[in-house]
Amino acid sequence: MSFSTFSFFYYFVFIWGSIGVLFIAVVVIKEMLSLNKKVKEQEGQLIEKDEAL
Amino acid sequence: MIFAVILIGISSLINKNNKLNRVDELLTAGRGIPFGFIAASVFVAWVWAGSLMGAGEAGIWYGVSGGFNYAWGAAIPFLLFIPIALRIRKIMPKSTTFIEFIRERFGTKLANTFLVFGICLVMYVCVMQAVGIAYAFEYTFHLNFKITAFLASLLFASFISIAGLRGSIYNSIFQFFVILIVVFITVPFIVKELGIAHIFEALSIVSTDTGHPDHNPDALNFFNTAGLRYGLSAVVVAMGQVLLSQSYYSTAASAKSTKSLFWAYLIGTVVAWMPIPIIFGNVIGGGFYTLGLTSAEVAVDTGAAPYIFHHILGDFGAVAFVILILMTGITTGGNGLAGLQAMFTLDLYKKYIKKEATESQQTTFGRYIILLSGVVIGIVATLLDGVSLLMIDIFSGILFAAPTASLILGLWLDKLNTKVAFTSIIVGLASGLLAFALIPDDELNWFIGNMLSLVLPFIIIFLSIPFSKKRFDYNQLQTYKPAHDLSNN
Repeated sequence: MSFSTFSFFYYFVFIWGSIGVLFIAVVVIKEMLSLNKKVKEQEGQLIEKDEAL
Repeated sequence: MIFAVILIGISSLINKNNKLNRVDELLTAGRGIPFGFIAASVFVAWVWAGSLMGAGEAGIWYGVSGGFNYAWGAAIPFLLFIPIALRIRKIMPKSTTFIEFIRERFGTKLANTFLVFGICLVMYVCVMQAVGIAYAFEYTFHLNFKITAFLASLLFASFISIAGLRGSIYNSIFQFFVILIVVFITVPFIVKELGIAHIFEALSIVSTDTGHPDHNPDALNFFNTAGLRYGLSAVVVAMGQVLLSQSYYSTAASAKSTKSLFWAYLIGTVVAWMPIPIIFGNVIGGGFYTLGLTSAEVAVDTGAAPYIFHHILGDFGAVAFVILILMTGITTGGNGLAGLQAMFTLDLYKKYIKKEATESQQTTFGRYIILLSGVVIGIVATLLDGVSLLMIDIFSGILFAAPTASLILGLWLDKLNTKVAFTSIIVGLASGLLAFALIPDDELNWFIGNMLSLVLPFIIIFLSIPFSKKRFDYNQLQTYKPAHDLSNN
């Protein structure tokens, strides 16, 4: 194996891994924000119901 | 202590905010978990001491191909798991454990056989996590191996006992970010300090200098025979660890939809996870030789990873590595125990111990049995001081690969009957163990043992099909109803 192949392999795997985990991280953060928003909407609806009663 | 407080805090909060006295909520988190959470949970479940320290060891033994062979070897069973999980979801949508499928497909005798394998596998995986954590603390902080191993087991058993699968998944999200930060900050620093050119030079010396104590002519050969053999064994090892691990089925059952299940598993395991062992194989294996280390200085090659982190990055590196192993061990151990909780609750307690058990009684049993399991795991882990993680992993392939053929083929081949399935398991396991014990060549006995354990059952099953007349009707599984209420009918 030549040095250029060896170093390409090192960088390639690192970039591959970074993209994979960053993608999951972004999706998880979006889902957490979305869940938070849903919880707040549900709480808002419950408060409205209580006030109506 | 700080992490123990955080974890127990998270699990207590989850227990408070969710109906965890309902079986389906405790075991499958209500079957409504979104894609990203599943992907992160699965990624983290498969990043464990083996992926880091074991892959590092493979990098030392096999050079540049070590981590890569570990990675593709484990990825193949993951790729296989996806259609299996989708198939079970399609033909038996109301199931939770794969044992339920085996019971309906093959009968009680085989279901109990798989239950024994499944329980032993999870206990083994959890023991490995506790051992990995204990090694990391021992090498870095010189803490007592036995005490650390025991306490680590109790820690992950406690949080699963309190919060079930939902706890495992939510905790995995927290750990995901910790692992991401540690790996993608420390590893570039280590590579920068070592220098890619120096790593290449060190591996060149190992491959060309016949006087080097660890001389390996294939250290820079990506497709060497020894590495390929190891990769094939990694397929066998991972096959049992993935397909017999209830936690992956539970996580799959918790997915909101079939589509999210598919993408979460594909991205979490193959896309995100595969680079991790390759990186550690390269960095630890390369770092080992660049620093001029030998097995005399690092008592067990498993200890190379914490040694290198400490050597290059000082106390910060030591703490970072220990945090990494603690996080990965807790998530993988916790994930495994969540699956064990499902098997004990549904396939043992409800089936045999108390048939009229209410959901509350089942969940109470589930909690206590996991605490007890933690104690057993802790005790067994204390006995493994000084044993190589990679060698244990390779031997486990022989033990757990044999049942996978009947599980996989049982999902699609309607002519496969119980007798043949059972025979294939016995023959596969026996031949694998005999080969390991009787072949004198230590370079070959584990490889042949693993191959026989996995492949022989497949051959037996395929050879039996022409002689089998009765066909199993998969449609009857559609109407399967578990004893407990499901969250998402």
